[in-house]
Amino acid sequence: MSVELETKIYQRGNKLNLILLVKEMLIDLYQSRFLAKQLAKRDISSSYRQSFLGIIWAFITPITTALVWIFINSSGAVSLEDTGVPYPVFVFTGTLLWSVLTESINMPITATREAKGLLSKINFPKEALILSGVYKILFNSTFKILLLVFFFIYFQILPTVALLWMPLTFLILIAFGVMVGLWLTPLGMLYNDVAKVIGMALRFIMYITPVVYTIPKDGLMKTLMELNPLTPILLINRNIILGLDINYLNYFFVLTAITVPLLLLALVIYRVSIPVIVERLSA
Amino acid sequence: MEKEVLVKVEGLSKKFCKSLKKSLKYGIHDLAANLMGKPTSDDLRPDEFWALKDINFELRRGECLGLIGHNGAGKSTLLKILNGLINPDHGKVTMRGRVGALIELGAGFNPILSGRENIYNNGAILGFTKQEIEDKVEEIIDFAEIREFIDMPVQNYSSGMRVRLGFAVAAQMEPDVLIIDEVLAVGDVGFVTKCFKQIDYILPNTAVIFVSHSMPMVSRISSHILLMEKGLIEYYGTDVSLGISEYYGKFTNTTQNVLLDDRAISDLKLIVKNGNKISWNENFDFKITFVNQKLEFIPTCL
Repeated sequence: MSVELETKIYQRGNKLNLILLVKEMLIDLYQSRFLAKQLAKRDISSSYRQSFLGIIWAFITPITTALVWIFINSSGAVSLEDTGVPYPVFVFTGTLLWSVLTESINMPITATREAKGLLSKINFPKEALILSGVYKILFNSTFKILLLVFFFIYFQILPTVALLWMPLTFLILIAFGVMVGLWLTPLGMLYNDVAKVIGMALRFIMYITPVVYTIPKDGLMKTLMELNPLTPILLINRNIILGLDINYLNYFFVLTAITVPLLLLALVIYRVSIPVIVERLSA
Repeated sequence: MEKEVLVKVEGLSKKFCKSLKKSLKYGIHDLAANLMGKPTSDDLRPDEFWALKDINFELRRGECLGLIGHNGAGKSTLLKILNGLINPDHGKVTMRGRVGALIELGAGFNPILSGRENIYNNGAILGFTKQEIEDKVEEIIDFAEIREFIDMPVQNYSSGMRVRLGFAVAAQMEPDVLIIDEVLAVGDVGFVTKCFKQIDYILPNTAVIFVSHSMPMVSRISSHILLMEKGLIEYYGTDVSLGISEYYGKFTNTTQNVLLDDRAISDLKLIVKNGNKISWNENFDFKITFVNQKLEFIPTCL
């Protein structure tokens, strides 16, 4: 045989070379595009084929949250500060962006859980699961953005030049969420508690993130919100969409700069952890 | 000339844990150790046991290893390690070339989607490119013999049809190493024959590892036998019939064969008088001879 065969060696304590691992991970990620697309297509078409309301399920939570707050605000039960745009637009943008963020944070654990059966039977590039999750988030986001466009037209809000940055900041939002979720995945696969804690924590964190109201001028809430890394991620996106003043740009840059290396590292850890997880789940 | 070695297993061992809580805790330890690049220890922690212990074998292109043993002997664990799904705790596994695994047919099938859509899902998971699937989709449908139902949701397929479709997709792989785990049990005779024909066709260029509880199937395609028992190798060699008879020998521990349990009776022979031929509805004479190891005095016959 003149052709050199690809050789795989499995032994304990494989030498961990970070650069090599990142390289292998990126190659697998690149090569798993078709698989990722196919998995996303499979999940999307199967979930909508067995549903009447279909894509509407993607917005039901953000819209109901928004409606509750519109009601609270208009009834005067809570007095909120002026947001600079009509409150319904403000709150819809907030809840829709928040829903994309929470979807991104939850995605790695959910996607890996759903593929548990596959993972213990077939050897395929695991990165495909994450990539397919990102595809699904992007698919759902398209409809959420279309909904926003509809609100813009209804409330006659003119887009500004800043909107051109939106694809970039929106991708950063997704990448940040996926990164956070990926760090929690190895532990979350072993213990169910992790996914539950994330779900509960996010419900509280929403109130220290300016989703349905702006950052107050002073007080403990202001300090908490300004420390919360989700604040700049969400705020920059919303203010770009609504053409409002951009604040917390430095914090946003810092977060963007650390998201990329942390995401790569999380993907490598994910890759290394899967065999240990599969062993514990199927043993 | 002998062909090249594609699978090489040296001193392979793997431990498992009997308690779920402890297993999860060890999982965390192993995760941490793995990420630090530290090797796992050779000592068993509380509640652990060796699911595989010191497994060694080699397999060359064109050879077929029949992997047999009782439930829980460690066959599936061995396959998972060979397939790279879990890491060994000790020893080394070297796999050369493209590895195809028929461990579960129809992996990635979604019940709501049609057979045709699922060919793409399954194919993608098995590592085909989009182009490869598009080129082979007609061939796959024909091989599975379900053209009439190909656009029906897979949830309405019978289990046999699902296996057919799954095998048809997997049969398009051109692997260097093929791992088959008990997947042909559901198909009807015609389809199983067809599967074997396909395996025969790729065998000369492939190293096959075949797991089955059906000894006729094993003896039909294997050139080597690896008999496992409780994680250890009981027999490894090219004498297929010896391996299989040792496998059957394991059943002597069951109550039906209690006569042979303590090996008191050996060299049991059945001799039929007129040339070993027995015809239906005809009397025949036979003679049984055996050696009774525990015999202390000659019993009197009536």
